[in-house]
Amino acid sequence: MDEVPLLEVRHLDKVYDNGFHADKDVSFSIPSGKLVGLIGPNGCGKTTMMRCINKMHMLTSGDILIDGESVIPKTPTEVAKLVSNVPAEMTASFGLTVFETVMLGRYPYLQNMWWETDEDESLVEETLKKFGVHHLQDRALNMLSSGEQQRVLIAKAYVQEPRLMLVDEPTSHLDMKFKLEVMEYLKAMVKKDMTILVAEHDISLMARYCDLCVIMKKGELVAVGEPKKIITPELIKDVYGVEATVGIDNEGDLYVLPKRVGIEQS
Amino acid sequence: MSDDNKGFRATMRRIMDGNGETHMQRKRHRMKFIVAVGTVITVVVFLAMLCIGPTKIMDPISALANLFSAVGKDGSTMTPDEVLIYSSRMPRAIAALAVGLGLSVAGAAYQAVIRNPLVDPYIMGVSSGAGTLAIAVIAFDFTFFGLMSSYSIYLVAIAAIAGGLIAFLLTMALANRAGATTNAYVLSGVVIGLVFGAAQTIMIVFSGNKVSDVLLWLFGSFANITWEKAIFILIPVIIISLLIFRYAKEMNLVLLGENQASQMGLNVKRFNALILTLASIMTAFCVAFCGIIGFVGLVVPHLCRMLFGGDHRLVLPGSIALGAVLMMAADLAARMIIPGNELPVGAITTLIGVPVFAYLLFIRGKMYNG
Repeated sequence: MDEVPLLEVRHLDKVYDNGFHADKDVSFSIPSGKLVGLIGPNGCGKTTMMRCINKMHMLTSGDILIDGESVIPKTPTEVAKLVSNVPAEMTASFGLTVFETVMLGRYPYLQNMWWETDEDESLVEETLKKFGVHHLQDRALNMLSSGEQQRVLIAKAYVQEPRLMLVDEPTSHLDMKFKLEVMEYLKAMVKKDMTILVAEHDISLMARYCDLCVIMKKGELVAVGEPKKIITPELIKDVYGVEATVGIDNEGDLYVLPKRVGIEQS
Repeated sequence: MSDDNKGFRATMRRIMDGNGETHMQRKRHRMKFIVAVGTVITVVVFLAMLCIGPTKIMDPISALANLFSAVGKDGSTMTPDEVLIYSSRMPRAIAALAVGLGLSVAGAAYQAVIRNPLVDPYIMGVSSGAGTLAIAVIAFDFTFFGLMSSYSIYLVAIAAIAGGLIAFLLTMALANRAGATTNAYVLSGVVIGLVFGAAQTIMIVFSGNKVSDVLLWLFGSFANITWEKAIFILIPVIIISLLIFRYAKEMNLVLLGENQASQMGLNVKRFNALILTLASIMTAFCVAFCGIIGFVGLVVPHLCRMLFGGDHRLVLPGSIALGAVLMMAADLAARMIIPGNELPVGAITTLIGVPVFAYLLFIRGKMYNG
């Protein structure tokens, strides 16, 4: 018998109240322990799908299963213990410190306790060390650089001890070095009992780090598979409408170089 | 424990700097510190409220002796000193404590939910709504269309509470239509507040010889507080503060923003509506008898954040103690600065509040703005 996939999306359909059809009959499944890139142009339904997975939005039809169980009947707290979410950016008000921000990741486990336990604290301490932000723990989140902030947000999602971590455009306003750094941290985390789904625009970056890619266009699933097998010039043309060179560099990593597009001038 | 770990200064250092403690130990110690020191200072200032006044200054022992003998007499055939302590200073101290506590907790709650440090308990239009109906009663003998006797001591209070809640409900209705975002709450509150403010201005112009009564209420004062009024404020303020305190953890969570808080399992829209409603009801009770007293609700939560950090499990108990103490001290100052001529306490809190607020903006403004 096949292993139960960690995440299974079954015939996901999401139509917004204003009639916008964001996701159209999307089905795929992902095993545990993978770093998965979610790729597609703006408005292709990536964010909507992520929001359906952690029950921020209700699906119009279809189902989402984690470890073989549907998330739909689960309470928000139960879902929070299975799925965590790293936003593209976040401003914490009132000088909340790095330590306090990461500790809030333990909220779903607190139940009726007033203070977090010593176990919670040591988990947070370890995680801060793992992400290289331990020395910043008493700083206000707002005082950190964007790269450090992003690591703190990932650390917060990590101490939530989810099975699935959703990361929405983690590198969107980071420079090249920070982008690589964030991806390294995500790659290092995934060795554990956890799958990470990253929505990101930089296809070369995704191809370099991800075990699998899920490619979407206008709310529909285009392809799922290993980056080297599915990313081709034809696929880029189909999804983005752009001519591109797809090649393999000296280290055997795939890269995508888009060609110039002309502008129609009136 | 080694010798240099003993003594008051070492204890203070341990509480404020941690000194090798884990974060959670430090928080638990700070909590004990707030409860212990807060209680002591509150009791001391409360006693000072009983002892000190423009008519007579007593020592604490005779003040307490007069209080207990008056309680024993059940209010009848009291000596002048007993009347002074039992019927005048005691309810006044209770009311100042309750209003200071209530406005500070409401301010902390509003600031957390709206995620804006510049918000005070009057941001949802409660004060303007309360003021409008209170002025209608004071200047124009509005009796809710004959439903209430114009001599009832509760008339102004009930008008103020009703007006505050009407303004709050209008603000909520407008904000919900505008998407129930934090900006929607602030903008709706400002707009509704302006409408009621305009109505107030018009009524003040036509209030004739009642204008000084109107202004006295608007500036805020504890001058006419009786036992009934003090209890009428104290009980709802205590109950609502405890209810809000119960949600301290959730108030930390909403600081991360609506999306993050709701993906952690909190129903943010319902939580925000609940806290804003509780805080607004409490604010309405606070202004009912004493008028609009500014700045305590704005400044006290910030002082607590500077002293104890941003965790609401510490900010809220800190606000309870500091709010009560500051309001009692301000009332004492209002009575004592020019003996025989009571200054409006709202003006005193503002005079204390503005420099503190300016200092906060100067020191912490950068840290607060994302």
